[in-house]
Amino acid sequence: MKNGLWSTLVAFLGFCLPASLLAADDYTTFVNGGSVASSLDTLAAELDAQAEQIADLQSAMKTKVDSGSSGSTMKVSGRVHADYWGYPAHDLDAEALEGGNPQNKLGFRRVRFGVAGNLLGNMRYKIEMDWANPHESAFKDVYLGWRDLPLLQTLLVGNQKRPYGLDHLNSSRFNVFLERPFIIEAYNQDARRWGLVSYGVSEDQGWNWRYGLYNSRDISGSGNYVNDHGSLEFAGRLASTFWYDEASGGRGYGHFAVAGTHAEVDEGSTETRFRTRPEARTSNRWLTTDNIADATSYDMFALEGVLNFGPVQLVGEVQNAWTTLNSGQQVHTHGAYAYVSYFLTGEHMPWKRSSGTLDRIKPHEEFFMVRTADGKTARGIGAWQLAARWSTADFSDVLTIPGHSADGVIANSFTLGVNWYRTANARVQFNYIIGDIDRDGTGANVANYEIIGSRFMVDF
Amino acid sequence: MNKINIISTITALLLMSQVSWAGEKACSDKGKKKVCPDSSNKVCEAVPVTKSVKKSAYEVECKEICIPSYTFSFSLGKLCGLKCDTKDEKNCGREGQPKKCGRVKTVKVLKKVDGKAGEKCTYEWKIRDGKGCETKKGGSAAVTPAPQPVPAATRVPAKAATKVAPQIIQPVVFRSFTVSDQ
Repeated sequence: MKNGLWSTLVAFLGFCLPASLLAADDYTTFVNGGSVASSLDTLAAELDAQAEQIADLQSAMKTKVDSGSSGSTMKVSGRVHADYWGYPAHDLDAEALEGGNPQNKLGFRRVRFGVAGNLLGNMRYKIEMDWANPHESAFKDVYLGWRDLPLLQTLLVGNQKRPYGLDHLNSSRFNVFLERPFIIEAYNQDARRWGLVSYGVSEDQGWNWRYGLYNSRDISGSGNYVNDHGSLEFAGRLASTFWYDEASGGRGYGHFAVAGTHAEVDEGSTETRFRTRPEARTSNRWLTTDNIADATSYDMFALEGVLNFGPVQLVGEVQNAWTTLNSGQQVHTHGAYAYVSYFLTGEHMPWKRSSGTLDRIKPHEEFFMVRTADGKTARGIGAWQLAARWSTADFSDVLTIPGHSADGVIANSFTLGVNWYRTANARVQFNYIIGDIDRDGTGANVANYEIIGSRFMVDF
Repeated sequence: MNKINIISTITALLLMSQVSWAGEKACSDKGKKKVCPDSSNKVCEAVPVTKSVKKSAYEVECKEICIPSYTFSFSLGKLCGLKCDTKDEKNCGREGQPKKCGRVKTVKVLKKVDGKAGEKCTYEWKIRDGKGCETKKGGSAAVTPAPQPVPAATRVPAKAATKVAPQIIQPVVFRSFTVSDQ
């Protein structure tokens, strides 16, 4: 009996195994008395096809980049932003702020390359460099840190963005306008500072926060801060995504945040100064408080809000700063902006709830123009977005400081924008800016200007 | 010229002749040098082979996508975990739907397709023993006729080989050749 069972099992396996190597149709042919040779031909053809696939895979693996240490991961990223800026209309006051006739500009705004990843355990790292100016490279995000910590969640040490100004926290890959508003860039010039910062998000992603201790000096070009004065600032941001329509994949959401900082600054240093360009690439900064000789500290408070209804988005921010002088005098500077954007093609601006910032825009239909196999021309249109922004900043209070002067203290501008998202990783932007900057706060010397800007960008 | 110089010169000449002699044998170590065999009695010969040509082409597909409507209420949350009432199957699951339907949009999706665009004849250079390549007038005795091209893609099963005549494809394209590593 036992022998009979074994022989039946062996016979069954002997029958099943070769059959399993054949495709179902061939197997059917085979058991129905079809040609064994044709089945073998099919098998041989499949093996040939698989051999080709393995060869392709081996070839592709030769170009794969690995991290240098085992157990660590590495993701390579980069971006190229190629700009053109023109100044079709301006007056003599604008020329005075620029130090001459504003010249058209053609070049690179950002050329970045970086790596990021996780290390053994719960560590992470990122290094990103910018070579837009080949003679003067600058580092951007350069940090190391820990994930999944109790209480602190994520803790990063190194160069990273200060936590105020939504438009600065948004990546330049996703921002709606070419350049950031007056007040956002002035209070947080180039955004990144050396700091020790905690990042957190609630379980339901309804709340997110970040806070930490920073050095106020921008060291992206020098690499070091050398000074007996600590120039420390404590900054934080608490944000709520109070409405997020899960069912539509986040086509509807609402965001609100408060942010602020207290900074101790070295008197007369660059950290006592707020300044920015006219929301365009000019040689000089047209709006400035200039270095304040007696400033010892400043406090900044900001409110931000976002509402998104499908293709329509409304965004606004208000920021106020109070600079305290040795004499006890307090100087109040402030500014705000608001914009509305609309997708003609129906997409929406995605929202990242873990950080309270804009996420990557994905066109419903990518842009392409090709000749298909049958000789016809095929086109895709990409995503098209219109936007309008109003922006203002008032630094005129610095002129109340005895003996202090600044050239360009009150700014207003209006910007129209057109964005063409060719794919999720490539877009073309166009901005038309009309603005004025009051040079001395009297209304008598106002620089009027019109600027156009365009940018071709890709990121990977 | 003294004796030492003469002896050194003769020794050097002998060593060189040894090297050239050794070269005709199999690749071997001679002192610290690696010596390769002489290949002057061999020739390279072009052999026509047929290779399949791959070509990429674009295709455009039309795809219907949903553009969901957003809602302020959280009624859609009720759809998850909703149990069907068997008495009203048509409306099952519709209780939690928002009043506004999502829109359907048809978009074009670009696809890149890799396919075989046919076959082309190319050459591989093979090494064989002999001198000269003339074959029409008899030429050298060592010359052997070049093999006929055989399509690489055609595989003939061993059992069926006797039934299927070998297919010969004449060279039609003369664009490139490859030298095979021997």
